[in-house]
Amino acid sequence: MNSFEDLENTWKNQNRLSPRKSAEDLINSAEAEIAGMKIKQRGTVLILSLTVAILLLYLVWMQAYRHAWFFTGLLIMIGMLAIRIVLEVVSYARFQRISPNKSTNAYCEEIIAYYHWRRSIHYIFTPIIYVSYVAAFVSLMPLFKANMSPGLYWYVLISGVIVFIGLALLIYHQIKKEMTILNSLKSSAQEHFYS
Amino acid sequence: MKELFAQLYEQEYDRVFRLCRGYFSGNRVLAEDATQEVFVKIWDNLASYREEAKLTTWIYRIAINVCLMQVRKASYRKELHVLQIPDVTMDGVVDEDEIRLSKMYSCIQQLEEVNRAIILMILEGVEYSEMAEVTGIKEETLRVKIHRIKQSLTKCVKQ
Repeated sequence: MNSFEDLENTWKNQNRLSPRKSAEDLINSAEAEIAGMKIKQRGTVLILSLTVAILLLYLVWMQAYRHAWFFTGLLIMIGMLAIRIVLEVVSYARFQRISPNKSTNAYCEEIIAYYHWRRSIHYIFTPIIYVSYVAAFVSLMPLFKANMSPGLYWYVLISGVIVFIGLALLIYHQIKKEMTILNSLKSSAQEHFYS
Repeated sequence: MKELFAQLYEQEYDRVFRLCRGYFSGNRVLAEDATQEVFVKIWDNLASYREEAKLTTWIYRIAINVCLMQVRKASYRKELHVLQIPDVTMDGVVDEDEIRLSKMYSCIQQLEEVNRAIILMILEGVEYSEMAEVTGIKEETLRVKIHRIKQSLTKCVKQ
């Protein structure tokens, strides 16, 4: 009683299930979800852009261009953030181009290529950007100390350390998540499409 | 556009749900979430449908690709890991078909991901040519695979 035809019959006789939502409700939640995703994806770029704007304002306000060390440090920080913004925008554009209505084979290839690109960002660009940004920030600390009130200086120092640690943990978590997906996709794709 | 979507939603929901359920060990809640995600993508991409493929082929592609990615999400992995018995019983009524269905979901879960997609389409009665279009695997290769997968599933359910 367990031939493949029996299994097919069992499968076809499953109870029918009605959708939880009406089509209208689903369209509304789909629109909300799509908008939410766009906000989330653009959120990172927005935060980075705001930081760049604040640093630029600070550079002008403090007339940092009159002090080579100060100017260089701030420029490195702004430059690293600008590179990060470009990488985020390119990543977002690449991800947007991946459509799920392709064959599984083609879709997996595109997703794998995307995560390879992300891997090169994580393993090459991210460490360079992170280390350069932190190094520039640290190099500016003596100048901050000389020009800021003790309270503000300690605030900048402590909040800076917290942000850098938090950021490192966040980056680690993101890399781990994306690399798990990449490895899982690669092993699955290699087994089925390329062997 | 909304009318076409409503029509597709009504006609294809059950089929997409069954396919997603095959990816989530028979679990209804996870499959319903994934099905909803599939229809979100269908709505998002409907304007770009160019009739190069049959509409059902197009929907199957989205369903399988979305389920493939959903099943990789950490939260789903954790829930699937905890899951021991596929959730197929209805109102406490358990008959032979229910038990067999439960075993089928359990056995489908043990298959490799692409094989899972293939067997789910076979069970839905999808043509080989359409399956080849959905997966991107050549029809001849599919025929060999299908024979093996059918045997493997039948053997597993019998055990």
